[in-house]
Amino acid sequence: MAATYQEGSISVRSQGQSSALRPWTNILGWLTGASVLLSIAAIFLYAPTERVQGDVQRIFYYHVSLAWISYLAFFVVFVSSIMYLWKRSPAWDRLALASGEVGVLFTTLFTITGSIWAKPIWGTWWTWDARLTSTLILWFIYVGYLMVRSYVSGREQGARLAAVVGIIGFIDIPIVQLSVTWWRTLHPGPTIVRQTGEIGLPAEMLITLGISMLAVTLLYVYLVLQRVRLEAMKDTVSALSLEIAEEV
Amino acid sequence: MSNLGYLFAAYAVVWVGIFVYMLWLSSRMRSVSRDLERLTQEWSQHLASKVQK
Repeated sequence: MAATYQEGSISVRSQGQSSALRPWTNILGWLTGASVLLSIAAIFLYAPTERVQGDVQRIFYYHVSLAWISYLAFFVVFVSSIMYLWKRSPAWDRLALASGEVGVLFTTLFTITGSIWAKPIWGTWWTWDARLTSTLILWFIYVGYLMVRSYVSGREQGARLAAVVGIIGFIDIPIVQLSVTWWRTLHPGPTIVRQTGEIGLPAEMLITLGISMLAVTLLYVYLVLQRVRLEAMKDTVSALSLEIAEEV
Repeated sequence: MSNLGYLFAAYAVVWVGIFVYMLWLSSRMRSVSRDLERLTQEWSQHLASKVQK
């Protein structure tokens, strides 16, 4: 249902998302669910067992997928933050917030799954090597990005400050990615495409990784859309409350 | 814990984490929807009373 108010200057979409988009979001939800199920089947039934690490290596498919999509999420924060500072449109801020939140969720998950993988392989849950340390810094940067809005009075001021954090924080992404090349790390170096340019995985593993990446990408898009919708609804509630307060 | 135990723990963390986030999103949307509905009714009543005057 979309409601347009004749009085006052606001035009309100009562559900924060046009009715035209809703069926597509539902379709996306179903596609996401199907791709996740397919990825689980591929990981546990199709992908071969790695010779050295055994079955624990299967953590790799979601660990890597979550990591790459986190980078995508923070890239979206970076671009949306620039657009927000340039255009001052709340829509860009909503997208940045949504993508940042999902990015922090995915970063948390890939860090934990990496730690769980590390215990049987390295004999430790954590080590202060370059990849893990720079990833932890990344997590703190974007948790800070989310928190900074709460510490500033005024929605617009919070959004501007967060946008600055979102732009500067993106510098850590290439550092995280290149840390295994620049420094000696315990974390495995490039395994999918080696530094020689050679593909480092057999076909079945590549296919499984591809399916997992697709599932996580769809999940990211779905979660961001839902989060943007929630934020749009909250903005509508704020605007409407203000309008009513002024009229009464 | 055997290697399989670590494997299942890792995927359990992923799915519980995503599930909890989706539950939170859903709960917030329901709450905000209720607020929006209440405000919409208030606004409609206010407009109706203005027209009557």
